[in-house]
Amino acid sequence: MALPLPPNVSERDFRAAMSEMSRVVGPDWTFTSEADVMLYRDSYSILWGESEERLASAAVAPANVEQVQQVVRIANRYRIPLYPISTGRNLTYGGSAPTLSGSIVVDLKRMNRILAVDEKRHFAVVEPGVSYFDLYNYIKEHKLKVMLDVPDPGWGSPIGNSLDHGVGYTMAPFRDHFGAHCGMEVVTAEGEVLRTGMGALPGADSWQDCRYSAGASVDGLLAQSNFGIVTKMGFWLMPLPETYFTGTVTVPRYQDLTAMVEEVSYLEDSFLIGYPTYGSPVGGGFMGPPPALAQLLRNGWPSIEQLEDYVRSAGRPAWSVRLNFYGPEETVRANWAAAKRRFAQAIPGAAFEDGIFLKLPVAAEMEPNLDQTIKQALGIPALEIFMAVARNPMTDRDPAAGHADFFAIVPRKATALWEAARTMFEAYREMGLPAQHDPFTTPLCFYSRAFMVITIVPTWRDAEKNRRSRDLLTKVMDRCGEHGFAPYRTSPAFQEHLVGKYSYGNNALLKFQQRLKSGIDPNGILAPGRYGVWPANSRRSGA
Amino acid sequence: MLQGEQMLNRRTLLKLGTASLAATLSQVPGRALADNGLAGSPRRAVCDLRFEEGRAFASAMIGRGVPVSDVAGGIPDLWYRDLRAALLHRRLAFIGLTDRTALFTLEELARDVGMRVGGRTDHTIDHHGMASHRTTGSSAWRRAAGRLGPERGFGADIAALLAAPGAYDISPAAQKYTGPFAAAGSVTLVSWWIA
Repeated sequence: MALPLPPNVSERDFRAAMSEMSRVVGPDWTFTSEADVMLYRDSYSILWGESEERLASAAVAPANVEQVQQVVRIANRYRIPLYPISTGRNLTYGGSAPTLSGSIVVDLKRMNRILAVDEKRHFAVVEPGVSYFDLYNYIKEHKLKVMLDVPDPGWGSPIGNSLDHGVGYTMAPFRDHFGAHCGMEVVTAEGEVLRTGMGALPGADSWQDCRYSAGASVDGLLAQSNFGIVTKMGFWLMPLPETYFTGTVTVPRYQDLTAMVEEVSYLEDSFLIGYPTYGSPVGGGFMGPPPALAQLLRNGWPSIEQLEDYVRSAGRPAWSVRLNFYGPEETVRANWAAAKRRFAQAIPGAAFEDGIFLKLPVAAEMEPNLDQTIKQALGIPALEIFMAVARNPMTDRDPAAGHADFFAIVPRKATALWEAARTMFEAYREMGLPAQHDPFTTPLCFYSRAFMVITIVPTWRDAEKNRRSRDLLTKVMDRCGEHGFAPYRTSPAFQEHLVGKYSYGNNALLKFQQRLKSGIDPNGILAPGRYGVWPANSRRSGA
Repeated sequence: MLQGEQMLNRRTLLKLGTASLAATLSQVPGRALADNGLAGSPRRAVCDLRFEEGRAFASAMIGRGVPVSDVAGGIPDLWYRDLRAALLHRRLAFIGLTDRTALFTLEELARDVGMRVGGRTDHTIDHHGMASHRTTGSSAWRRAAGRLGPERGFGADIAALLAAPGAYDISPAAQKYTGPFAAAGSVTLVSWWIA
């Protein structure tokens, strides 16, 4: 497979640029051979092997901020697009492959220092090449009394993950990873270095204490965007709790979900619980609906009365939610008691079950034996999740390469959840496919103030199968868009289609971003096209 | 080294593997570029003791003095606390017989140290215990692995193949490959080398 040249760049200029970059980062860290550059292919690409698959022209791995600056200046002179990655493991959302074919990947893996972990003020400062595993191991080795919030899998970078609005599993302030950041250092498209928040004040020691400087805050512009290369970032960390406890609530009727969600929201928004895990003892989850429910669904989406009848005949509660509590034992037990009181008052027939109780930190020898969901709740990074989707032994017969997904943002109320599930159910039926969703679909709660409802499609090393996956995901995206549901991120194959849904005010948001891009990066060298944002000099820009 | 009827379990394997690894690292003179392919004895083997063929592979490797690690201990610990540091110091080929998930994660992680899958053979074991093998890699690797038979015990044969002196070039065809279809009820394993 031939490597693409950067768009509108001659081979001679490309070779000259690579030669200059090699003198900056060193020949050992300049990758131009097909064998080396193909390592940056997106393993999960839904466009694998097709002309639209995004491929890099080369890659460079700078060692420090100064080298990043020089690489950026060289790229500007030659008008060559760059695509920065931290660990490049954001599979499903493009991974290490650029948004625009022919870009040079700027692999920040050599910038892997943990610059600070403060266990009194509860923050960390890291470089892009630091992974969650690195940070976790550092905290353990130094016996620091802070707890991470990690995504699953944990092989990515806190910087990379947060800049793509990645999420985790603990308390609300920490599981929105970008929301938990405080301060960043950025190399701009012109090769300057800026620091945000209190970092812009030379000599300030409060860079990780206060997000804001005087004047406009620009941090949000660096997430899911192409406005700069982040070279350092601070994160607020949770103080290591003394204990961790789980309690499960079940409710008997289908419609009890409304009150259940309201009570859980109260507890979340009051910071009394962490990530709530919703379930349904009578739904099928990822295994698909039980036979009686499947029978009901043959005639389309059932009525509420039919669903209540189904639940009664199943003889089990309609819904469950597992609540996570963190803190001293006395407060954890008191918060659980308060939660039970509130649920009992709000929902007749609510039942309760104590779960596990752990003193923290857990002993090192216990960690490997912890259930995956407990590891997530305790900020312990893992890689076991790869057994759950594409590489699940149950689906290993016809091995998929990975998956593409659709995490629709849905209002945090039962009626919206049901509407989203029904919309996806009907989208699948339109495509003639077995539905992934049913009336007992449960939400994910990564963002504490919103629900997410997920669709997953496999990706393959087969163009025809990928086309079908793309068609399905596009159908779901379109149908959900009609109902006001859309995901908060997606792979490059769908980014322009997705941002087209965020069209309020005649696409005012995108136009605003385009104008910023034109001013900040007029030569369009930083990840052009990411989430539909092109500089004005690009024919693809609408600005 | 395994002797007599010594049972191969994770504790035994780690004890033997650690001792061998320590000896290996102490001999490393310094940073060097990766070998271009698999030539000579590998410096580390990765196995999965859950599987009979994985145990056979591990035994054979230990018998050849190659340090062995079991993925059941967790790929994160294997990579972040062990392999990565060793490979950053010197990129020496490592080999394995594991399930596809383990290879997938190690292949992705290996990019951190500039290494890649050079060749692989997918093994599908049917419910009768008979194995079929599909090799992806250079012609030399395909010829060598093409000698594998369908009977039990191919784990040891793969170990012999990978541990013996020989030169196999890296083949891009073996990279980011998902593996062949396998019938229901089969067990799928993959042997591989990363260099």
